[in-house]
Amino acid sequence: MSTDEFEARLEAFRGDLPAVRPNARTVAAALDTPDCRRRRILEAASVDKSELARHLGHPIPAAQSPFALRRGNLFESAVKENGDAHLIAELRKQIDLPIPATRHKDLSSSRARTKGLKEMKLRAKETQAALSLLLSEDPYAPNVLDHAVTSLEVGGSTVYLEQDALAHYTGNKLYVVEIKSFPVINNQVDPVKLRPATRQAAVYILSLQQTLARMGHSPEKVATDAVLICPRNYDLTPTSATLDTRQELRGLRRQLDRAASVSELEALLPQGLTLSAADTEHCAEAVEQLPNAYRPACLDSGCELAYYCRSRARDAGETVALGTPVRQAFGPVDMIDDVLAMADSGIAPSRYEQDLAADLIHMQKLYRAAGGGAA
Amino acid sequence: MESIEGLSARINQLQNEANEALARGDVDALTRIREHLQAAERQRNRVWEEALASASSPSPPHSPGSRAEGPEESLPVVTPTTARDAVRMALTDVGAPLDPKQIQLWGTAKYRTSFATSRAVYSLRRDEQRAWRQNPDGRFFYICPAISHDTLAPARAALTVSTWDDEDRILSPYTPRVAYLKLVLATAAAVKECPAAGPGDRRQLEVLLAKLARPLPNLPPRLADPAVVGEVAESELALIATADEDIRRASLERLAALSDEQRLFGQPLKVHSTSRRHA
Ligand code: SF4
Repeated sequence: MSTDEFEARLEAFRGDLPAVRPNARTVAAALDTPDCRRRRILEAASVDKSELARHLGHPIPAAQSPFALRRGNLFESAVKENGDAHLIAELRKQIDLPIPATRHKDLSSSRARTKGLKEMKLRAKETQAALSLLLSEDPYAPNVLDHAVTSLEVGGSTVYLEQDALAHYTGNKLYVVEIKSFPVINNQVDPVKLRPATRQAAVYILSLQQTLARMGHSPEKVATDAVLICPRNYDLTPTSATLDTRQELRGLRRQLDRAASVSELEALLPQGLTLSAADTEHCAEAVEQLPNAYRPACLDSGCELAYYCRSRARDAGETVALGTPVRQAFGPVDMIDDVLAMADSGIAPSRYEQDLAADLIHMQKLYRAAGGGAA
Repeated sequence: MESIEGLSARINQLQNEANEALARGDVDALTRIREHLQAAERQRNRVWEEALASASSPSPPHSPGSRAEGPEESLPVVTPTTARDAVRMALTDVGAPLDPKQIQLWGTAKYRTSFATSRAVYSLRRDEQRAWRQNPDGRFFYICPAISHDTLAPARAALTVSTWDDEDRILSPYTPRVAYLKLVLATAAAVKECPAAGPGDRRQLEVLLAKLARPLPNLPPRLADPAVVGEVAESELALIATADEDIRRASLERLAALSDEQRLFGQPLKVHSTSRRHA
């Protein structure tokens, strides 16, 4: 099957469910659950998983509050207003961008009147044209590329990613710029925020490296340091830093090597399977045909189906549905009923196991009282 | 058409009458006077439009320190009365393609108008092309998108005026930076020229100058000093202005070869559909 055909099949599978664009965050997060084919297929088909989770009756709270989203948008437009004035100022500080190197190109969506995947492919081409011009050392080539689109191969399928910005000047490296709205307070960033930002920058860098390699250029031209632009303190005044992403890059490459291949995904997607926004039951049946691998880590990796998959695991009586501590406590015993049987077996449990077993019995009672499972 | 002096006098008189009616609480009179006032203002705006449209190229910002003197000084203070007016005035004052946000900043600080909100400006852009299609000679000027030098497609956000020379409506990769620097210079000049207009006006312009100057390199802490900021912007502009011009001029011939509409509003980007490969 050609890539185009598989893409068409994935689109048919999405049915009338809304599509979402992948980004560095979703790509990085999906690599954290490498064993789950369900997630890969849904993401390859650009299914809006939070919408799907809502249809399935297990919505997950939005990862970002509307307030945080708005702040993020406001900050990005503050950085880019007045012809990227603040972006250029920070680049001058971080990568010694020479004063006259202010040639700008906007590669954002509305230039071409297309939508969806087609638009991303077109923009990826426009980005490649701009990159070729840049790397040909044309003195007039734009060296600050806004909203460039690069692509990343994941298990043989292509994911298109929109970059915040790319910057370069003749004779130097190409830098990925990431604009984030978490604050830098007294020159310190919350490490909980910094880690995912570094990982996302690594995804962008890797996709730019791959894009250059496909164009016949050395991926070495891409700096492994990313320029991070954040607001200083609590207002929207931009400040910046560079992020060393080498360690993250190594990790990502390892994870990508493990990603399921397109041919495997093709084989797992039953012919003619479609999702439907109107029919919840049909949707659930379709989702159930895609093999998953629920782990408590699914929640941490931000998979929007986590509540749905967890409830299914619970219905099936798997200990994994009860969270990491329970699952670890019972090691190889992965069915709740087996654990309960153990508790009844007369083997004296440790103090910790007593508590756990009592919790389990209590939950099982509640669960059955509420009409769940076979009595 | 009535002279601008006559119109201005009439507008003044009507404004006084309106104030009196307001003081008396005479709503009927106020409504009637307001209608007359609006008609007179519309007429005056047309005179201005005509006068300004006949100046075909963008006027450079006054150089710092040179207060406008001579006959200009006796002109009434011009304030825009529509979004369209505010856009044209901002573009002409700064003399470079600006985006809606910049137009709004300028309009608010310089004229203290709130017409040119980004939304109003975006919808204006669509309306202008429609109006041009209906009658290319129907208006003295049209607000047009800047034209990308390479694709000759309309730029996403930058706006120009149809009466500008072709080369001033073209956007090179340097143009957004040039436009920003020119906006800084226009603001610095306006701050310098402002003292007569009262402390309120000047304050707004100073705030804008401080905001605009912040990302400029090597600035001392006193951001709102128009002389210092102007100098920094001027020296950066000197480094790129020629290259900007060269690139824009290089596209002139290709632009001239387009239809009248595309010459003003840009040619749509052609999508080379991938489906052709399958055909
Ligand atoms: S929550 Fe479900 S779909 Fe998401 S990664 Fe886990 S198992 Fe896969």
